[in-house]
Amino acid sequence: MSAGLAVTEVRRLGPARLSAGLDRWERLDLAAHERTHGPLPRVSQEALLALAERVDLRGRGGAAFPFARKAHAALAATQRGGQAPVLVVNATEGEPPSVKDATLLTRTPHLVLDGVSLAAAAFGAAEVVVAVAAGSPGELSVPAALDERARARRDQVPTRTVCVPERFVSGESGALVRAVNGRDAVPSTRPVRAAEGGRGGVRGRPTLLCNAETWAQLALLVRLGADGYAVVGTPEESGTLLVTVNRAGGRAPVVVEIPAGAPLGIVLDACGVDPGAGVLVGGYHGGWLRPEVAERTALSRAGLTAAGGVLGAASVAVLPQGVCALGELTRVAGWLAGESVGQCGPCRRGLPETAAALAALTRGSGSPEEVRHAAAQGRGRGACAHPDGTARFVLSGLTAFADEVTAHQQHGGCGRRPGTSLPLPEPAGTRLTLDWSRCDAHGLCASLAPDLLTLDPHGYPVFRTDAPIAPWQESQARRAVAGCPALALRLPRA
Amino acid sequence: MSVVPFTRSRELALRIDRIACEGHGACAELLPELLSLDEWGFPIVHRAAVPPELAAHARRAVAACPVLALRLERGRS
Repeated sequence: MSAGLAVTEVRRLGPARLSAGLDRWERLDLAAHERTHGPLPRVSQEALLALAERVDLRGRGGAAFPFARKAHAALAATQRGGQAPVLVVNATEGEPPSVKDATLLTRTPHLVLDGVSLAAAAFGAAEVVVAVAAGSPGELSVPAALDERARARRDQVPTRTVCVPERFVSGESGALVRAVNGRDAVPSTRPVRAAEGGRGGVRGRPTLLCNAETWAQLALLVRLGADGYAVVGTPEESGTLLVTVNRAGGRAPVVVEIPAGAPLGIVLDACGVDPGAGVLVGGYHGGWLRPEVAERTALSRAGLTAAGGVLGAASVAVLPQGVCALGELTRVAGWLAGESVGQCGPCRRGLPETAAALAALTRGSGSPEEVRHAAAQGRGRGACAHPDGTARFVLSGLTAFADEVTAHQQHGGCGRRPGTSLPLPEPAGTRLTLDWSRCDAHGLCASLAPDLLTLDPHGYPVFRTDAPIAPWQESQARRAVAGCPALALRLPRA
Repeated sequence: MSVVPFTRSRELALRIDRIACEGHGACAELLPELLSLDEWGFPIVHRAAVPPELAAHARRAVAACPVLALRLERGRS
């Protein structure tokens, strides 16, 4: 493998399944993989579906949809329309706090490919598509692994890798299928079911789309059998779970394989992480837990629901003691607002407003009610779940850090240092700049770019956020620049 | 041949295409019983199910949407 790939550390609590062999090898090539896991088993369609149903295998990308039900729908559409299905591995993982899928693809890619390969053979699939984020390590690792498998003639079904632009919502299943079909990676107008084929499927075929870890779990399930698979985990949620634990202080995240239902406190301990002032579970669409609650919360769907959170894609991030929580919430909310693709009004307008309300509260000039109001505006009113997830992140943060909110509101700050403990990609893109000495308050910019600018009481422009301009805002920004009669507004190159 | 009784058991329901909607606000003007506008002019649906007495008003609101974002659908019974 090329030397440029960062290798994420993998630890485990309990048996090594997905993580088998990773203590010995940085990356399991096909030979090492088959020595560790055994040869690729063959399984019939009926047996595969029965296995998935018996252990209630769920999607591991965050939505936890039952695998068997999704597969049944795709196979039923195949029978109706006579078109062989396409299987898709979703390894785009657009959430900065989650690296488990990227880690699987770089360190044990053949386990993921085994799962989709045996399902493709069982379902008589026409094609397998592995979707990875452009610029992610999977972009190199997956083609290399596919090459190895082709030379050893392991797969019956043709498999290709597709790189999709990395954005938070491009991993949404509808957006991903659109990207694979060569269109923009944005959620569709109507909820389309990929399994039904037609407009919602890859090349119009019934499409079975699952997260990378789900396919790897399927490969383990077929090898271990239902009883062997369910030895660990809880009776309702059997097997193991891959968790990304983010560490503060610039240390790289760790991926941990745990039996489903293991207490979060023990998992954090195993990674040398202190619960700090609060724990975020489920990524930036997830919820904050107070440290004393987090310690005894079981890492399973049921455990998180009981604690008032969500499991999501099982990523964990901690806010260290002494770091300003509101500052961190503001930073992430600003990023989430920029990650909207700007299709639906309530999301396009509501998320920047939420970020601005949080920033005002952090400075001491706003109120939590304004933040709640802005965050609630978008909820349930988008084509995808982006506004809802963002609202959950912000609102649960206000609840978990209620003392700090009071401190900011009453004293204009909490005295804690601003931090960068929650991982975010480097801000890319450019910002509008204003030459104040030229601006004559004509006010055209605010009408031409209402999403970016508003006017103060004297008619001078005020930027809505200090985040870089998102791709969907670019045309607005250019129009405002072109329309400024005093040439005061500029858009420098990125 | 058996006679199929004519029933209207399935209720009409309002659906908004959030991507197409540009916040013109005509719908809330014509159907304030079921819709209102948020601070940016995008519709908030108070109740998706359309009672029979409002069906005509709902159809008028649907017809008035300049971007065809508002629809009436027969609910799933």
